[in-house]
Amino acid sequence: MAEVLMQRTPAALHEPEGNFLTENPGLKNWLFTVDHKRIGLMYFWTIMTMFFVGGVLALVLRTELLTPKTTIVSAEVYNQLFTLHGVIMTFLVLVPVIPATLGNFVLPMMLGAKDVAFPRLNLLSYYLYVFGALLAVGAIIGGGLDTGWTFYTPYSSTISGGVSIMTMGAFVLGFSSILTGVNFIATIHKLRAPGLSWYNMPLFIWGMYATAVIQVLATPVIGITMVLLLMERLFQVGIFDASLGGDPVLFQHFFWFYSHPVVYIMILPGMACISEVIPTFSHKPIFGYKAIAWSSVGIAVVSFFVWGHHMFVSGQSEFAGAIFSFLTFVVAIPSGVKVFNWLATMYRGSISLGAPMLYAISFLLLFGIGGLTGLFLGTVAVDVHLHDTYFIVAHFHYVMMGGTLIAFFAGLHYWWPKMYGRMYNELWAAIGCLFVFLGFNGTFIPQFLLGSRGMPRRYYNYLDQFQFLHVASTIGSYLLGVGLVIMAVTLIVPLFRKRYDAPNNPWGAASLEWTVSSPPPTHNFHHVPVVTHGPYDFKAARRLEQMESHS
Amino acid sequence: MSVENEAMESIPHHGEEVHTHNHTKWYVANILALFVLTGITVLAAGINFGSNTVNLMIAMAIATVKAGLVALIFMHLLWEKGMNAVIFLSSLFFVALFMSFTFFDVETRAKIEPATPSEPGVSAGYQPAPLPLYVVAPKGGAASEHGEAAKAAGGQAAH
Amino acid sequence: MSDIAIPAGGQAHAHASPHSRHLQHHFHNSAQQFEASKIGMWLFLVTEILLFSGLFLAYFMLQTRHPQAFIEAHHHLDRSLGVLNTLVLLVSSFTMVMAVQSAALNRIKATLIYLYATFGLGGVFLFVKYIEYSHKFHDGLLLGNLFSYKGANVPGEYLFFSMYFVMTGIHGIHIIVGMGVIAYLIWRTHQRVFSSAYYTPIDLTGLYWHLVDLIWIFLFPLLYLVS
Ligand code: HEM
Ligand SMILES: [Cu+2]
Repeated sequence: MAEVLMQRTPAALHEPEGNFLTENPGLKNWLFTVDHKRIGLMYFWTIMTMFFVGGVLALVLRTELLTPKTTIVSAEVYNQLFTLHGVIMTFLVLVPVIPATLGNFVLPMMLGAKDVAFPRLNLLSYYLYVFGALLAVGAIIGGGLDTGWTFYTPYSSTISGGVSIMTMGAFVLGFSSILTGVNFIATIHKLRAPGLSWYNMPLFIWGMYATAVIQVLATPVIGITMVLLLMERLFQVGIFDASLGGDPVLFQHFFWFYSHPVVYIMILPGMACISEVIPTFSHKPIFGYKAIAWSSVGIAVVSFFVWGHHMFVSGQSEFAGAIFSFLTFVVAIPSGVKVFNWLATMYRGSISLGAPMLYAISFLLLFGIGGLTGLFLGTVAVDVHLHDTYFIVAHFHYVMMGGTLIAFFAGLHYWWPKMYGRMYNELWAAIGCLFVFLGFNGTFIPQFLLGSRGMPRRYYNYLDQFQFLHVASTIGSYLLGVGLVIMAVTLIVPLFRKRYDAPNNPWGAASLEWTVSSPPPTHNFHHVPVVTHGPYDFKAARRLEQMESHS
Repeated sequence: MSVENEAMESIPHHGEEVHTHNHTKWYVANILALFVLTGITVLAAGINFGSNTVNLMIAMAIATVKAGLVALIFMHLLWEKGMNAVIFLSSLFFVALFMSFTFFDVETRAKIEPATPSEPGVSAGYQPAPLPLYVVAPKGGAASEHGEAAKAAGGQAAH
Repeated sequence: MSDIAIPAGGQAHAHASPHSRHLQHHFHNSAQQFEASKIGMWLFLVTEILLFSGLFLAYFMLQTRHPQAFIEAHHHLDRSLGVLNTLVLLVSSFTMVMAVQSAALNRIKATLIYLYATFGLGGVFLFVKYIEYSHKFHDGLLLGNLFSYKGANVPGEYLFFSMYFVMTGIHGIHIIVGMGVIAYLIWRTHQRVFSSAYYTPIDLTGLYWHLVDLIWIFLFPLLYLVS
């Protein structure tokens, strides 16, 4: 069995045939492709466009908050802008950002497969995303919508404007997300390469699997919630309306039964990226593989038990509040398990501070703050004071931006050479990361302070005493914006180089996607690879690589 | 060697026949059983077992047995690979979770503070307002103060 | 030795060659492809179950709040038509599963007959629903603000009809979609596409059809037999 090596292709430079980027060129071939790598890239650029729009909106919002009362927009416009910002960032960016881009791109390769199980559904998922995005954004721009991304009834069921179209948009987007989840689960079960047992899978795959489980189980509920909201608007069916004999708090149960788990749809893929980057850049096998793997699944399950912590002051019963509060503490345990295992992996590793690792370390710090403040909020007595203040805003930005997006950036810098076959400038990547890190903290630390002093969220006006902190936050956000621009430029500039200068395995990683050329050939593997070592067995991977280059 | 064994794990191979057995007898027996259970459902609906909730539970229990038969025999879970059954059962678990936790809330809402309206200074707690239900009033307008009261009760537990 | 032998040919359905024309390039053999599709379908059914669970939860919620109204209102439904439709759907499940089995045993003619039967029974179900609906429309027993029935004597009866129409409506859409897919299968069976070597679409549609039946099994007592 010893001669059975992982199949390696010659370095990209000597590659006789094309890679997935250049083979079958032309717009039509891209738009109708079923190749998971191309779909991943199409998703990537679409989502980044949305992220750009959402980001510009954020800067407009922050600019408005430089002064009390009107700075640049009116109160009504402000309400619509934060709704648009929230909807774009949650539904259009954070939910799909890692699974649909990095996940689509690397998951089949990590498994040693040629594609996901259902390539056409994968493409359908992309177009549903585009369609849903058009509906959602069109609803706000065309019809106007100022409910916030949470669409609470009875406000959302009684106002005029774009709510109905928005519900359809959310429904379609949910479908897109479900298709990704179904695809990944089937792929992971059925398309693993020979030798790739469950415990031989990279932890990225475990994270994607857990995410997919939530996508499949939770997303349908937002679908039916949107249908019922639409019915409520069209026919006043009365389910969510107390004056008609229904219950508006029921809407919140429906909404959060999806939307708490959805925050784990966001963070689990982020954690999945971190689990790849940290061992590779610490040059040390991951510590506690099984603990990390199972804590992903644990998070996926437990995340369904805590949704009521968003409803402590919504009129939910005290009894339910107490139960949900307790369970909220439980869900923090598996996240803690992961963080400690990552730290233990880094401990005594020989850490190289490449850009992916810088982002990973930022993630540890920021997600730590986000998660711990989540525990404050999970405590009923504290939450009564902090609910609907800037403290919440800061909390979820620490987990969503500081967690998910920073982890996405870590993953992006990690796999970028694989995706486009070009290295980026390490120094500028590090500078971008520094700006992002400082800017992010500059934006949101003041918001913790504002919130604990009573500044409510979703207000365009505020008391004069809050101005200093608001200005600080706005300056931080500009810094953050600069950091993101630096990052984007750093990543995009190399794409104009003709030559593929990225080696197959620039970081010395050990999972299968690094055994193929950068960028990968159209069908990933010329022969079915056989896995003979663990995903973090860097020594074995290097030995194989050396034997390969001698032959 | 173990590599080869694991290779077999994810890629099915020779001899793993899925189902070419003839199950007609099972199917016929199943459809008859389902007919009988449908009859039982209708009969049971005519009997009062005590309370509204118990009646509902019994109807749902019979329906669950029927659904189980459909899933096991028509949908082949009886003969399928375990994974599909796990997927199916997990969905039921999460449905149960969704419903039971929501009912934890609904059923215990405002029952913590017993209503003692006679004591001065103590709030009356939550009193379900008599709702003007048969009029589907336009929003905000003729919904009347009852509607408002109910909204308040739904939106904010009385203290 | 770089060329790794793939575990040899799939034999899921009778004797499919590993490179049958229905095998997509990223699968090793048809057994693997079949099992992957099967998992995918079950996952899709899970999403359907959770989707409907929201409707059931809303129903339970309203029913526990307005028990009297629900009991009153459900008397407007015709119980015998409910039973009839239950039986129709159960039989259609039976014909569907027979269609799948016939395909697996390579009895294509029988497959076709059973598919036609299933399609027809779906049609019967919809026809009965049409009769029921038109009755309700006539009496103004409708959902939400369309409810215009004058003889209601318990407040909140329209809530029952809100649930009735939303639940049976969404269920009915599933029946229509199912019939569309079955019509497609009939067309493809006529074209001799399916055989014991390849009948995955029939098998998957069967699963879907049974689930739609399964949901009706719960809808029936909730809507027609409130007590
Ligand atoms: C240790 C884990 C976490 C705990 C204990 C926790 C706890 C909480 C609690 C109790 C609230 C409700 C506060 C309120 O509205 O009064 C909340 C809000 C929120 N959390 Fe977390 N959280 C955690 C992790 C996360 C993660 C990982 C994300 C996303 C990636 C996230 C996103 C959010 C969002 C978006 C909100 C606000 C929703 C809104 O009202 O608009 N949380 N969190
Ligand atoms: Cu939450």
